[in-house]
Amino acid sequence: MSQVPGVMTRLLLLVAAVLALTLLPAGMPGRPDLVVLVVAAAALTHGPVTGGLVGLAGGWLVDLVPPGGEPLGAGALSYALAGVLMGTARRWMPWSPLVPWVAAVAGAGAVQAVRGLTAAAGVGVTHPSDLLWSLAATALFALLLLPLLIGVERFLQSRRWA
Amino acid sequence: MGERRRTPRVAARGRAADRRGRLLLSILVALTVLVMLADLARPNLTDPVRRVSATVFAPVQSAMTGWTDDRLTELTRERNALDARVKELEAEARTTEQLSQLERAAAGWGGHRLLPARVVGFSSASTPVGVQTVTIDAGERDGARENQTVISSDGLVGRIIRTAPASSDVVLLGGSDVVVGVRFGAAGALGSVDGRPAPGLPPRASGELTLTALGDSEIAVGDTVTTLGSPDSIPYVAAIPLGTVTSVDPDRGQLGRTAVVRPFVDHDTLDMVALVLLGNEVG
Repeated sequence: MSQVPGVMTRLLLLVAAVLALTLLPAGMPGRPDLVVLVVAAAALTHGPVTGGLVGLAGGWLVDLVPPGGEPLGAGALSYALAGVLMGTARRWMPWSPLVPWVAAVAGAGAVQAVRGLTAAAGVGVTHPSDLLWSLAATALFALLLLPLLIGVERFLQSRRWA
Repeated sequence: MGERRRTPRVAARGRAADRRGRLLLSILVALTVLVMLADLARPNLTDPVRRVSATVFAPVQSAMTGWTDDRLTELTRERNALDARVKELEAEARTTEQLSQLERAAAGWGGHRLLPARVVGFSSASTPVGVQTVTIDAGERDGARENQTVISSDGLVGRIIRTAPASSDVVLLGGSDVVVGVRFGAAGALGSVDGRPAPGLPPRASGELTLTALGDSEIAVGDTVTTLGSPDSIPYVAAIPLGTVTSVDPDRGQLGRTAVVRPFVDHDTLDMVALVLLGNEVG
């Protein structure tokens, strides 16, 4: 019944997702958002509250791992929002096996929308095409990684570790 | 489906856990908002947090980048150092020529010692505020200081905004709040280069910068843009190649003439860079 293994696994996955960006080949048109996929798996298995908590933790890592984000904490809030939104999609999970993918892409879209809105408001520089490329790369990676991550979450749930 | 089979006691326990989770989430979100406000109001307050995180994560990132061929890295390092030296000498020759012809004092970037470094981390493409920063594996221990110029064999990369013991964060050309004084064209006319979209100008493609001429100088397509340099070479050393003019904007009544500049350095494939160490002149 202990939740510690679940929390530790998710933390490790989040750290791996943030650091994996270093390993991706240079010159890709868009950088995928792997953190949102880990958040999506937790949110779609356990609902909005867990999604929000995992999103908050993931966002803090995005903000803190060098070079990090500005201002500190903004990333955490944007990922928490995405986590809560994706968590509300849990009730539609039985509809179709595509629901998790659509929800994860929508969550990544919410994160990119926040980035686009702040840039439109004059804070930071982001090009709209970069937002779309990043979203496309995330959607592509979600096809492969999301079933695996949801599998990990289901395993944790079956062992009552989460 | 499992919900229906739950006994009332299990269901009650689930509801209690849910309430606890919601409370925890609200508290943590409130704390995050507080930290964000503190960071906006007093960025110095949160510096230690970033420093600790850089101390912990930078060695991991550095190790992850180092999984490539060592010999290739060494050769690339050598090639880039030589390439940088050639550009340095060219800049020096230009400066000497100018000095002799026009007796104009222009402190070039020739003569400063270069410290090679490697890019180990890119800013996430999903942070709420679009910052363009990278982390390099040279830190305070190697002599990195805030506002030092970072170059690559292609040209200007950016300047250091934050240092940690073993790593530094570099804000790239084209990032927000990065405006560089430049010279362009054969005559060396003055201007500034900015990455932010300017109102009233045609939209720029990703990675393109805007050159605004100071005064009434003509901008021509193909003009090379180099840095103007700052007092005491902080944050930008003079005469570093920055980019070329790819098109000139139509005159729509903007204050200075403007043009599109394509930088020499491609942010997506940045790997080996060099810090310009000031006050460490090589003989």
